[in-house]
Parts: sequence; C-alpha cells; structure tokens
Amino acid sequence: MKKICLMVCAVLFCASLTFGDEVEESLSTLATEQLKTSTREMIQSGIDTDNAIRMTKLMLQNQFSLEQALRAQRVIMNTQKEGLPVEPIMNKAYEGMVKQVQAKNIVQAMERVRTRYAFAYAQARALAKERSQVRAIGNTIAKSFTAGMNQKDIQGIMDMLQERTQQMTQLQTMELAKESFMTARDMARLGLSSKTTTNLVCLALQKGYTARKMENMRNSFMTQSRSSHPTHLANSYSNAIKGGINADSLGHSGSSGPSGPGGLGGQGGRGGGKK
Amino acid sequence: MKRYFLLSILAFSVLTGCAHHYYRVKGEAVELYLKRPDAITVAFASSLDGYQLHQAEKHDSSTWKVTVPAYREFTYFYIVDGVLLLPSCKFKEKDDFGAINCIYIPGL
Repeated sequence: MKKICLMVCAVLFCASLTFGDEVEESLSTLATEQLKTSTREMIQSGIDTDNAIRMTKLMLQNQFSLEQALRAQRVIMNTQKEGLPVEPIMNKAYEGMVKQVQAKNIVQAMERVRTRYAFAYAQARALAKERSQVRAIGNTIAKSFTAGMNQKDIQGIMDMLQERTQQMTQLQTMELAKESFMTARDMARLGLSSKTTTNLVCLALQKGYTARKMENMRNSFMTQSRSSHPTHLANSYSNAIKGGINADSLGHSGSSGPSGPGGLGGQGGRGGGKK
Repeated sequence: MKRYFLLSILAFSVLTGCAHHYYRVKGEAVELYLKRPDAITVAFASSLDGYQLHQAEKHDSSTWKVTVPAYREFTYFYIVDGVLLLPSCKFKEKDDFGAINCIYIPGL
C-alpha cells in the first residue's frame, strides 16, 4: 500500500514537472513569470495543456495586456471550477482573436458566455439529477440563448415544464425537457423571435405534448422551414395546436383539421411565398 | 421610407458581401461553397478546431470551396481578403461581438 502511494506521488510529481516544462518551453521569452504561473494553474485545474498554451500564446500575439490575459485565464479557471464546460469559452476567445476583436471585448464576451452557461446549468440542475443529464440539458439551454432566446423566456419554458412534469417520472421529465429546449434552440436558430418561440413551445406543453410529440413538431417545423418563412410557419403551428391538431399531422400538406383544408403545409407554403 | 428601405438593403449587401453560399454533404464530409469571384483569398474558420483559419480552394472561376467533417454541428464564418464575411445561411446564432455566425447542423 505504501509502495503504491509512493508511486502515485512520484507520477503526480513528474506530471507537474512536465506541465512546468511545457509552459516554460512554449512561453519562455513571450510571457511574464506571472502569466506562466497562471498558465500552470490553468493546467493544474484540469485544462488541457495544449489548449492552455495555445490560448496564452494567441493572447500575447493579439496584444492582450497582462491584466487582460490573466483575466481571460481566470474566466476559464472559474468556469472549470464551477463544473461548466470550458470549450465554448475558450472557443469564444479564439473566435474573437480570429475576428480581430479588441482584447477587452473578447474578455467581456468570454464572461458573457460563462454567465449564459452558469444560468443554463442552474436551470438544468433544477430538472435533472445526473451529471450527464445536466450537461445535455444545460448545453441545449445555453445554445438557445446564443441563438437569441432571452432569460425571461427560458424561465417561462422552465416554469411550464415544472408544472407539466409534476406527475411524471424522472425519465419522462428529462425527455420532455430535452425535446422542449431543443425545439426552442432550433426555432431560435431559424431566426424566430424569443417570444414567438417561447409561446409555441409553451402552448405545446400546455396542450399536453409528450417528448415524442414535441420531437415530431420540431422535425416537421425544420423540414417545412426549407420552403416557408419561420414566422408564418410558427403562426400556422400555433393555430393548429390551439385547434387540437395532432403533432403527427403537423406539416403534412394534405392534412385537414380545425385549421381548415390544406392544413399546415398549405399555410406555411403561402407564408414562404410572400418572402 | 423608400430611402430607408434601400439603405437597409445596401447595408445588408455590404455586410454579406452579396455572397452566395451553399453546401453539399458528401459521405462523412461537407463541402461548403462561397461565391466570391472578386476575392483574392478566402479563409474559413469553425468551432470544429477552435476557429483555426483554413484557406479555401478555388472551385471554379467564381466559387471557393472548403471541405470539413460533417459528423457534428459547428458554427463558422469566412474571412475574405482579410475582412470578416457573414454569408446568408439558414441557421444562425449571435457571436457576442455584435455579429452572427452560421451554424451547420448535420442532416438539416
């Protein structure tokens, strides 16, 4: 047992020396001691060595001040500490640098992304228990934000979900939450306003849509959006759901129901024609 | 009113560079095409590899082509002759710098 402990300690010690060496080798003349130390802290906090070094090098090449570089690294470390994904925040830094955005605006954007993920994961934790579920739902909520949804509307969907899932099993809750937020994300990505997206998802939840029905609605919406304007399509879907048309019938041009002959496909098509 | 409408169209055209943009999925890769006959260099950056710049190749006299893996969704944009280009695309998201990025979603 003692031997094993000693061996583990030796491996950890060697690993820490390797981190140190890689940082020194890659940033030797470029970075100050303070920045090198902060880069080592990043690596020790669990950030991939290559990514930590790449990000630091790029920040130096892109005229980040020492303070700005340290702040950017701190955002990444805090993200890691809070159990949030670091990839979207690091990607934001890379993206900003490629777009030649000013350093201070890049750091602000990184902080905005971190805030979005923190809110999204907090919402996901209110619904999910397992880490993988929190991650899946949290990431989808965060992407809905990035696509244009606002906090109030996300909260609106959350409230409706919590009301709807009171009598559901954990599995059913997860499925419905996942499908609802994926629908919101994809509709927002098509350019639908946050309010219209939320109204449609909440209406479907109010009308007792299951995860499968929500998925069907999303798929048919995405398919129809190829030929119809998303806002017109959303209005048609909203009317159809209010009228009690089944999710399986949404998007079939030949379907008839309370919305009248021609169904959604016809209405959506007319919307597209107005473009 | 008419003047504002024309100005909006002009502003949009300048931002998008009047670019025609489309893609084709071929097996496990997606080929993205950008029509910019006047461009000297076209680079492509995506979230697939931390927005590293990849030079696009000339497909024909007016179109540039980039091939990337199609197995997962990614956000992307172009840099044409050193200037950021926002092509028209179906799926978009805000980029936190006051512009937008295109999103490629497999199967859509």
